Amino acid sequence: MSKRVIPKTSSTDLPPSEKLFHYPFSASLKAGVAQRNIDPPIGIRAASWGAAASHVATGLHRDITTTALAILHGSTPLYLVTVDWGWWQGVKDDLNIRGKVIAGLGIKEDQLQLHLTHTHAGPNTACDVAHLEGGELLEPYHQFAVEAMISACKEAKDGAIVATLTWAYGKCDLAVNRELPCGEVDIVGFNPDVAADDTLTVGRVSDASGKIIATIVNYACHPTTLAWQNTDVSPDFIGATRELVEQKTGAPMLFLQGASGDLAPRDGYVGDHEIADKNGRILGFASLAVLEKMIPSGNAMRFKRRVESGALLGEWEDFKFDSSTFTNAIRLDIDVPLQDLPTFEELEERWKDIDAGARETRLARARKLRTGYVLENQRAKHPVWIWAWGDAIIVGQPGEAYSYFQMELRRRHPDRVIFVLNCTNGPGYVYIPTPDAYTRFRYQSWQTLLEVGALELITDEVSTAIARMPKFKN
Amino acid sequence: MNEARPAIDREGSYLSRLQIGVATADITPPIGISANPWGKSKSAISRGVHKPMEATVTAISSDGDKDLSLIFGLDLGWIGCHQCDVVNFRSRMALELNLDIDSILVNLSQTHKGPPFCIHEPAREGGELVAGYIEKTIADLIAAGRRAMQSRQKADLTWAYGKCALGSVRDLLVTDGESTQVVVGYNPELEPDDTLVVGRVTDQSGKIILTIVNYGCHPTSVGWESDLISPDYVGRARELVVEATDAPMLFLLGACGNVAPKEQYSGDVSVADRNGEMLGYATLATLASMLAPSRELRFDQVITSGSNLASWLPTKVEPNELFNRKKIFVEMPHKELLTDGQMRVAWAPLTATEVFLNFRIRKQHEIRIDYVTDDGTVKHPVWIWQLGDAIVIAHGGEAYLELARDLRRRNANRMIVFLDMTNGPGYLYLPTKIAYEQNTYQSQQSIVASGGLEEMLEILDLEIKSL
Repeated sequence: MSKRVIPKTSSTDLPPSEKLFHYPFSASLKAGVAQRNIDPPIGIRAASWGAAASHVATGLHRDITTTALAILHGSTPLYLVTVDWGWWQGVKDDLNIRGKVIAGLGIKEDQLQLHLTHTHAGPNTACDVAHLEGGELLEPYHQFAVEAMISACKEAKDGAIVATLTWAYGKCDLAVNRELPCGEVDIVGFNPDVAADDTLTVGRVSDASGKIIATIVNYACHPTTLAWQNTDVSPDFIGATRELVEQKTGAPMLFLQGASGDLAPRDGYVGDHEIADKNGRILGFASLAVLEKMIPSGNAMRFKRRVESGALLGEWEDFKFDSSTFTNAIRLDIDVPLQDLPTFEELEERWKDIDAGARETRLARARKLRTGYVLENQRAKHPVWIWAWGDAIIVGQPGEAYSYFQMELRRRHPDRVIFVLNCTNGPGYVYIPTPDAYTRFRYQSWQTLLEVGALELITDEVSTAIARMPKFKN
Repeated sequence: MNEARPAIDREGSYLSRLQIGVATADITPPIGISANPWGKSKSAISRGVHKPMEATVTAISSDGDKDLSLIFGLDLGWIGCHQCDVVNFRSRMALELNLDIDSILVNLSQTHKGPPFCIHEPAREGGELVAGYIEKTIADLIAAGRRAMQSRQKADLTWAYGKCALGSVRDLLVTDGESTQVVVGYNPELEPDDTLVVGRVTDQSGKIILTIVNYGCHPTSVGWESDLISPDYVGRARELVVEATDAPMLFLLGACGNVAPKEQYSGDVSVADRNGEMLGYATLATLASMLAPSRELRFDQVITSGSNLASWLPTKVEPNELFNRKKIFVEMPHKELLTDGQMRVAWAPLTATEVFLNFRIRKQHEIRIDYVTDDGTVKHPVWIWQLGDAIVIAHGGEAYLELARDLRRRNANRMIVFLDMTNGPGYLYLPTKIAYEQNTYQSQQSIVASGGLEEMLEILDLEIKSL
């Protein structure tokens, strides 16, 4: 897909015509990047799967990392920070990390999008489980990770240079639909009958010499290769993807989890690390193919001339052009409808016959999910951060949106490259499912607090906000 | 354990189990040979080698030798001459290898940076090396064919569709004041077909012995300003795949009549390498997505873990051992056949030199041999080989991407390996009706009349459905 705009005069033997130019999606901004390893200690609490026999880490499959990209919006730095962790259970856990990073950097809340890659084999992010096995290791680990994030952000900002960012879409077959009709309900697993969104969004950040200083890979797929049989800490498929891309480019890669509420790898729920690595290679090679597709940094293509050579050939040439320097950063707080939520007393009554410990866990989880998010009158404010970096739009929000969200935004705005991030900032750590998820009683519809229609509403609001952002004209 | 089962409880794989042998040969020509076929080039002489030119051959049979067959993938441009293809080349190979000529498919990669494989082609310089090169290459190919036949072993083929963004549509409408022309160059407005077919061949221990890559895109990354011999993008793609798999790669050019890289005609071979990496990485991504040999995914059970999860397991299945071959002739109407004088008048303004014009006219006569009939049609040969779950469709033309794309769309549950530039006669473009309306280079070149591709699509579709 290319941007089509009326170009300046330049062709040698033909009058200008808009389709005789091909501009890559790009940006020219001050950018810096830094990465830190934040491997947790063995024995740390790592409880992501109900079916797991052990809830503590017995080893490390691949490094857990955090990578920060700093972009200057005028003189204000914006930080996009990605972490190989799973998800937040509640706002207290989120702020225990994000709040400290914000304070440590001395920035406003909206200058940071803190993104979790959503691995299901990461250390716990909760700050209230010190009493459980391996939980005592969490607080010092979280503090270590916070310091690493702050130092990565500082390094990224201090090292920021004028960079050319090139954006492109590609395709990757890793993800499949994971909503399998089984009897009266749908269960969470591969459904070969429904096509999955295969869009892969890649960013390349290069310095003035064309050297790559960072890459950004945005793809929607639950990192659920490794499951209850695995007891090692792992970034899941993201580890092998990152290894391949970083090996080739010599620069840090940020992985950003897309709107993957309904998407997961075909080969998953296993204990075998090699399957996670194999899944990572599918995404890694696909990302490298997209990087190769990009024309050299800072260049566009124009029709040069007709060449008589056996056939009449159309010759194109690369030429330097000035990318958009536009940046913008807005936050939406979208008023969303909630389901008719039971009171905590009703929940207590509903679970009165189950084991007391399990009942308390469930009640605590319900409280954590609602705190800071649920307002009165069955409403909530769902936060969304929308940043424009040249021709790219970065949309981050805390929920687990279904792929409809990204597909629809990209369909409505084909003249931009849109990065869509689940699991970013908070509160609102809930699924954002399509209507049929509710009618089919899918797991996602009973985990979420949102009422049917919230997904479409959020999509419309975000789409409108994107449409209002100025577009760059070459 | 939850006893419920989904209505869909398996995902089939495309599998074949056949006797397969593999061999390769280096067919890099001597430096100094004519290897710059571009009309725009100042000299035809080659002064170096970008990457080696290779031949990869796979021998295929079911049990025994009765249906022994060979597929060659060659880093060569084109032949387009009945005498140099059918008579001097493939008939000779068939004789030497004791095979029927229709048991051999020779797919040319169509690199535009190699020597001619026709002794009649007018080489401006470096022509003195051509005949010797062709002779040596044919001998080397016969030897490689023999090695491939002898190395046959029971092998599993696993096929998968992938996606590759290398190709772009190369029919570009340019307007110059009042006049409008279609030139052969990147058109950002038209959607290419990004289908990539990958076949992984493994021995009985599971080791990869060959990777088959079928993709449609003109190898025209390197243009007239380079004096290097080059397999174009295929070279770097092959390097990547061979390095990762430790086994040869057989590249089979797909439907590419209107497909070429976005960045092409370059004097810099690094453009070919970048294009090759797009195909190479896309191939490796597709290989990584495959299950182990002779496996398909089957639903296993519901696992209760917070939510109800579906567990699927790769399950051993018996691959399809079918190997059937047939050859059909697609009858298509041809245009009014031009006389030499008419060709001269029509093509002179579009052709760079007199030498090229004369060669084009001779080529038109060669194209007609065993092809044009008295009733106003051509008999376009197509080889249809069923390799287990895969259907190989091969012909000598350069079809517009719509032919392969629509065959696959109409037969979405089939694995279709589509080969252009394979055997002959039928060395011509097969453009779509709209390309004729726009008077593209390809439609001017072809002797097939408008509507030919659409007829061929219907016939091939019926053939596939009858399998």
